[in-house]
Amino acid sequence: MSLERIFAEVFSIPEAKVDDSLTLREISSWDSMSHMMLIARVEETFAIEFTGDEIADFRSVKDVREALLKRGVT
Amino acid sequence: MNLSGAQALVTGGGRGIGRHLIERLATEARRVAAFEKDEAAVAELASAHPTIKCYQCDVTDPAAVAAAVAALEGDGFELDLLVNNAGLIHSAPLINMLEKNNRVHSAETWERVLAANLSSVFYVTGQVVDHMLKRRKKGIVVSMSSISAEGNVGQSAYSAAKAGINALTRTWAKELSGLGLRFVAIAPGFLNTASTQAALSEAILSKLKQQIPLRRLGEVEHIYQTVRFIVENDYVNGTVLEIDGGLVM
Repeated sequence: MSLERIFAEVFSIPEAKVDDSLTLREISSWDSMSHMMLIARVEETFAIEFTGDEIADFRSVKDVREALLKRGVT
Repeated sequence: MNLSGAQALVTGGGRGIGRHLIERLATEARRVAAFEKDEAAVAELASAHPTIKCYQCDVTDPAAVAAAVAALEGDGFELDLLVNNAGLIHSAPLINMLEKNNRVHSAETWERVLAANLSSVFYVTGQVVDHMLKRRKKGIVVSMSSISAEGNVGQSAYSAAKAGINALTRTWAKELSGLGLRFVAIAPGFLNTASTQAALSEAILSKLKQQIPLRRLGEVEHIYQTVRFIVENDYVNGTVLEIDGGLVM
């Protein structure tokens, strides 16, 4: 499953709308609760674990993608 | 019990579900009263429905509750039915992972939500049941629970409070039904209300409806129909009625 698909499913938005420029401010359903669901889905899908600081800093698709790239997930 | 002969009190009767319940009860019960915290809502309800007796009362304050029930008695009420409806919905995760500091659910919010949704039920029921027992009246206490009592993401305090209502309902039924009182909780699912529409986006609402076997939200009238059923069926006791379209099975 792609990162775009995960964002689309967690936040109930069209997948076509998901790209690296998309930020928390532009997704009204991205709040403290859906944030936890996002992290759980991404970690489970890509079998990785983010640090606590990374999780608190994620504010865009790009932030999550860069953290995945650091772990060799492309 | 015949609803047409009942004298009823609804807490939080000024708006939302409570407003619907009290307006419907006013058309079918003998006499109805409302406890409402918001002064403007009290004035508006009294003005719109002169037959409904409205009392300004913060149900999280035990002294205020005792005074309001005494005022009811002073006005000649002999209650048969209490509907514990007042409360508030609050959502917050135990840990806010979007933050690096101050991430833990606030204690103040925990206590405020518990006070509004659970302590209020304890205070009002205590005073009203005492009022009923002094008159040796048969009576019914209906308390608004929620399917959140089963545990709901981001609703630690609200879910705990509603689970507490379910426990109190069963406890009081065991403790007091021998004296002619019945206790029932209603656990609504997602209702078609302004607050639901405001809280959830169209996309999330649509997803939600797909999870409900009946594929639609409930209406507040379904809650009133349940209250009426509880009043009229005198074998319903010590239970939680889920009015959720089959969402929790």
